[in-house]
Amino acid sequence: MATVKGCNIPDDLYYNVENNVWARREADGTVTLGMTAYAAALAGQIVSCTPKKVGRSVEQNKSAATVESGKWVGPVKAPVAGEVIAVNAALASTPATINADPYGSGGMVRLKPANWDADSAGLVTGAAVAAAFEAKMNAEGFAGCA
Amino acid sequence: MKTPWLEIIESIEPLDGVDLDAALVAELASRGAVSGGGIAGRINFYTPTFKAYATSEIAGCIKNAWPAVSITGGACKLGCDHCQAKILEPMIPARTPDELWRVVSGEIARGAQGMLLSGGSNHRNEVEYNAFYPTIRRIKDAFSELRIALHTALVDRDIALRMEESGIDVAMMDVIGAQDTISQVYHLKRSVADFERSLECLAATSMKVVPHIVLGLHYGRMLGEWNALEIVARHQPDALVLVVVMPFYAHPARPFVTPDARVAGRFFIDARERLTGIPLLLGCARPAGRIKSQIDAYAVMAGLNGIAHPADGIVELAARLGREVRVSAACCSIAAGEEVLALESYSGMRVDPARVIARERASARRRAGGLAGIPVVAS
Repeated sequence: MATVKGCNIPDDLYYNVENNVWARREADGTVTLGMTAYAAALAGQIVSCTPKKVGRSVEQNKSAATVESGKWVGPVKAPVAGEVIAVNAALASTPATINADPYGSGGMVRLKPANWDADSAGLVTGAAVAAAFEAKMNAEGFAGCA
Repeated sequence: MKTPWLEIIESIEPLDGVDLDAALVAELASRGAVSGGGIAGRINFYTPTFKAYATSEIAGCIKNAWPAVSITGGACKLGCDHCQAKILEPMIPARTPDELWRVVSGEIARGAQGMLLSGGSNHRNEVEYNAFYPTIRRIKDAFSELRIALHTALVDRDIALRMEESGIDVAMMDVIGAQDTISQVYHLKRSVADFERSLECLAATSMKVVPHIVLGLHYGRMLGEWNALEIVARHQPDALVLVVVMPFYAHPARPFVTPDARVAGRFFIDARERLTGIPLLLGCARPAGRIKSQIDAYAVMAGLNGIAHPADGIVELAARLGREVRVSAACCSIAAGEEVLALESYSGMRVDPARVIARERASARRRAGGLAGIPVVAS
């Protein structure tokens, strides 16, 4: 578990640091993805999460969901390519769960990855996570998660 | 049988899963509001910079060209059921005239081209700008290029004149057409006639006047909107902004239902036909998620002239329906933060939508920094 400027950034997940998104390889080989605690803090209270439909293919670094808060609207970009096999329907009614539990019940989409090994090779995980996010936060002048 | 417009909608990937009412789409197509050129043939998409924004089609830009400033910070005495002062929260506070001068000077140094000036109301739905008028005049004298759009709230003739004399460019106010909404949602002892008189006073000045109508203002249901439309029509403003109430700001004890997008769509038809020749704009405020895509699609089909922060796929829809698309998003030098100045100042950029969309989608992965490449506006 890593904590960077007060933001929880678990080091067992895989991150596209630039896009501020995470991926978790599940035991069955599928991949759950969502936005980081840092991203959620930047956005503020999230008021809407609209994922891609089940059955749709998503390219790596393309939008898997659209998220909106009072001061931000934009895509959550898939860290890896794959087919959407499930979405977190609960977020439609309680999108602020993304702020409260970004890596658990705030996970947005589950993918059947197209090529996990190749796509995940470019993601950051393990001991490198904290330094990567600290550098990003410093570069962006982020004061810290509340 | 699917209409050609439904087939077009279904061919646009970002609109996948957005359910539209086939009968309403057919009616919108039959009205022909978007064909034949003229005012409804052109549509402008813009990205006011007080909200960071990106879709696969267009994106906002980094500079805060159009800050929103509140003379009361986040405070509002009204505490209306639909807002709870939440709309003020992200604005830059400037609670004294000196602070306003400092804030504006700083924002201009950072590239501001205009600003939205607002504030919380007193118990009579008046924003108490009195102490600020000399400073506003000073700002306009010192920075003549800076455009100022003011949320006026309710005014009388003298206040409207003071606003004009201070150099305000655009006066904006919500027009409410139902007494029950004024009493119950706004908790106000004011009348519908007060709102019309305010609009009349503003229209008598040289300021651009741009009323707003909030659809679904009565706890998510339509009540006084058509009367408000009649009031607006009587005073022929420079433009009308339509917004849709956002239920998530409401207090849980007095909840709002999410307005039905089809009802909004039908109101768009009525507004377009009632205000022939007056620019109709869909403002930033509307519910998020799939309903936003529905509302925006109906707005394009009904012939509205501008949409702020359009849902993904809407630029392509407009282009495919043959509308003359202008995008004020690629460069903040054109995107004015409030709807009217965007309209007024664009000549805009006439664009080839296919090129804009293709470029944006291709460059999306190259954007860096902020939140998924999108800068976040500091609150």
